[in-house]
Formats: sequence, C-alpha cells, structure tokens
Amino acid sequence: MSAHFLEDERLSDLLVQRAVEGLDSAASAELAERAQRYRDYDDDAVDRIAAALSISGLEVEPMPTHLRDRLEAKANDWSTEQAGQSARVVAFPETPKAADISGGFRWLAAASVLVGVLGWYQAFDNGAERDRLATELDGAKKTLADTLDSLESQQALVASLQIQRAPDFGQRMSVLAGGGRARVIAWTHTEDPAALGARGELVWDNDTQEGYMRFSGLAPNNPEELQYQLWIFDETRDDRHPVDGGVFDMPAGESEVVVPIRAKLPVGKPVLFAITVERPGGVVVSSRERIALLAKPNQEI
Amino acid sequence: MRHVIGGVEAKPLTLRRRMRERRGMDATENPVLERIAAGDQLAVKECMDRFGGLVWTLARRALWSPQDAEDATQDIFLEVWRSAHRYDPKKGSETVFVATIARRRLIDRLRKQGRQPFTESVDEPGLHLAGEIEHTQEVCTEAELAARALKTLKPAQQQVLELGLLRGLSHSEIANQTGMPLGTVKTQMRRGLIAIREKMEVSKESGPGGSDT
Repeated sequence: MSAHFLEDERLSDLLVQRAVEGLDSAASAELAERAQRYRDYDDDAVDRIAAALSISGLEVEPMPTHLRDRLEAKANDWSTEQAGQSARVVAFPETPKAADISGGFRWLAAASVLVGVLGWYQAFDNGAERDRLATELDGAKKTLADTLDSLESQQALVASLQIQRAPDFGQRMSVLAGGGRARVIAWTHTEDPAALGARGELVWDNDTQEGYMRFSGLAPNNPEELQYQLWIFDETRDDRHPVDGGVFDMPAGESEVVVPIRAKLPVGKPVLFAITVERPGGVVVSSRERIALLAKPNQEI
Repeated sequence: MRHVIGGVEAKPLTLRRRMRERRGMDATENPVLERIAAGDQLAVKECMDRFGGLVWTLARRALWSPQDAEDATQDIFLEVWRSAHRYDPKKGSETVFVATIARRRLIDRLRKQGRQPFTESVDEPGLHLAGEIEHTQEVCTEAELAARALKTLKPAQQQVLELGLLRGLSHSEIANQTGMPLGTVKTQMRRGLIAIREKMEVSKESGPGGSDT
C-alpha cells in the first residue's frame, strides 16, 4: 500500500488516542492489525509529537537526592547484568518424550487424537459428522484428563530440571540477533492486565526457523491456572489458523526471561507474532480473548 | 539549606549536579543512548544525570503521590536503558525519545490505577517544592519546534491539543469542556498533530537539525 499511514483516519485516531489517554486491549490489537498495512508505519510518530509538546517550556525540577541514589544503585545492577549477559533464562518446558517418561506416550497419543479431531471438527462443522466427531472428542478429552494427572508431577520435575540445565538462550538470542539474517522485533503490549508493564523483543530467523523471545514486566503466571502461548500469523497460511509457537510461563521473581520459539509448523512469511493468555497447556485454536503482546515484522528494531 | 519535596526531605544539590541537570534536556555534545546500547556503563549514569530532572518532573506532573512518582521514575529509566537500542537519531532527539517513553509508562500506570492521565496539577496543595531549588527553563530544539508549530494551528486545533496533551483531558472530556462534538475533537486533534508533524519536518529540513543541538 502506497498511502502514508497517517492518512488512514482510523489508524491516526488510534495513535492520537494512545498518545493522549492510552488504549484498551481491543484498540491496541486493532492498531497493531492496521499498522501492518503500511510499510512506512512509524509506531512512535504521534507519541513523539505529544512528548515534544508536553515538554515544551517545562520547568524541570531536579530529582530528589535519595531517589537519585536509588536509581544509581539500580543502574549499577542493570549494568552488571548487561555486562555479564546474565539475563536469567527459563527453559520452555518441552513436551516430554515417550521414552523419557512413563505415561508420556499415552499423553502424546491422546493429544494427537485431540489435535486431529479438533482440526477435523472445525473443517466439517455439520450435523451427523459433528455429533460423531464430538463423541470422539469427548473420548479423547477423557483419555487426556486421565493421563494428565499422572503426568503433572513428572512434567514439573522435567521443567525444573530443564531450568537448571537450560542452554543460555539469552546468549543464543544475542548471537542470532547479531547475525544479520534474523529479524529483531519489539513487543507491543495491549491493555491486558498481564501485559501492561511488559516489554521485550523477539528474534526470528525464518531460514532456520529459529527464534527467541525476551520478556520483562510480563505478569508471573500460575501454570495451573493459565499459561502464555505464542501464535505466529503466517501470510502463506489462512490467518484464522496461526501457527502455534509454544506455551511458556513467566515465573514469579524473574525480572526477565528468554524463551525459545517452538513453531509447531513451518512458518513461511510471518506477519504478526501474538502472545495470548490461555488455559494450562495451551490450546489448539485460540479464542483470542486475551491478547497480551504483539510483535509485527514491519516494526523491526 | 534544606529542600522538601512532597514532604520528603532532600539533601542540597551539589553545584556539579545542578550543572549536569541544567544541561539535561538539551545536551547532545555526547549522546548517551547509543552508548548505552553498546554496553557503555558510564553512559547509563550519564543518562540518569542528563534526563533525571526531566523524567522526575513528568512523573510529578502526572502522579499525585510522590512515592508513586519515584517508583515511576525508576520504572521509566529501566525502560529507557532497555530501549536505548531502539533510538534512531534520524527520527528525533534523545530528549524526546526519553520523554516519549516516560509518557507511555505514565499513561500505563495511570490507566492501571483507573485514573485519567496527566490531570493532576503539580500545584496541588501539599505538592509544592519548598526551599530554593531552581527551576530550570530548559530548551529542547525539537520541543521548541513543536511549540512553535502548535501556535500556527487553527484555534480549535490548538485548544484540543492543549487540553489533551498538556492538561490530560480525554477526548470525551474535551468534548464536554469545549462543546465540540466528539468526532470533531478527534478530527481536530488528528489534523493538528499531523500538521505539527509536517511543520516540524519542514523546519528540520530547512534549519539546523531537530535534535538537541
């Protein structure tokens, strides 16, 4: 599209509203979606003008000394962390392998059935087929529920072990970002309560299908109640069915986490990365009711 | 000499620090953000010296509670350091980059609290700066350009932008206050901001750069 993005009245309205009073999650998502249409899109364009106007003639007060001291301590901590590239990383808990864990095979089998049935269910959503598939779905769900209980404790053990021996994803992310081939894209948070203070970026190399996500300020989750899930919208696929990029947790007490992207299908041309809040274990098809973060390749850093 | 800020006692400022903060909003003889992105630890502190007053002032204007303003200031600086690699000098000055991050974080914070952004006045009772701290009327070229451009707009556009950006009223509050239909408020604000952007672009191209020079 050749038009300038600010000529899009709705997009301009959203940018102005964000600069003045902020946006709710629906409006943030709409902004992200509309922004994709413009190659020249500049996410900060209106915010910069608002900021420039708001500081014009501003009488600047010096920071209180005690605040400066606290900030200096924070700066030292941050610098040390950066210097050591010591961003704490938390492994994305991989699906347990059948050979590794008793019960895993049944879980995988049940999950496979569930995925297949769900896909079919959506493709042929009518009458008798629907009833028959629904019965199969109930059976699959029961199998899944039976095995999940026994698997839960083992998954927790595996996850904890993976945290301990996690490869340095932060370092790998830096290497990938500096390689010149991968895309580095900043996250934009929505108004979802889990994401209001969230920041970070993702790195994605489409050639190797390797990627990592860095988050800070994302609300810690209780994995028994909800989990975060990445979705990759691929221009070469139906946008109603984005590619599942994996489920992950934000542990309490971690200021920053790096999570590897595990796309379940090959990604052709990513046009949007979205983090949703889902029930534990993630979902096959997201209702997209809670979109927490978005990253668009046209907003590369 | 003692200075009391929002009920919190502060130590006197050293002359050196005053000079650093006075330079704050307009110093680009040695830009800091690119150096922070490159891992220069000294630049992290320089950034604090240079923009500390600006961020603190914006936080104080936006937030009623001094404690909240202090928390917000720390939060904003952390975000500035983390985002330093995103700074593009071609798009604007470091000052405006920092102020942009500050505004966003403050708006986020106020929305979380269910309050209207930037509605509190620093002149609320009990929030006066006491003592003899000097208020420095700093200059940022980019901000000056924006202010100059604002003055060239139609009165209705100036009015909605001032109410929205400087007094922090929402679109609907501006409509209530001015009697303009909500759609008109949005249109005037959008057109005003785009006009300012265009005028600033022209000024940057025809005059000395728009950064803090």
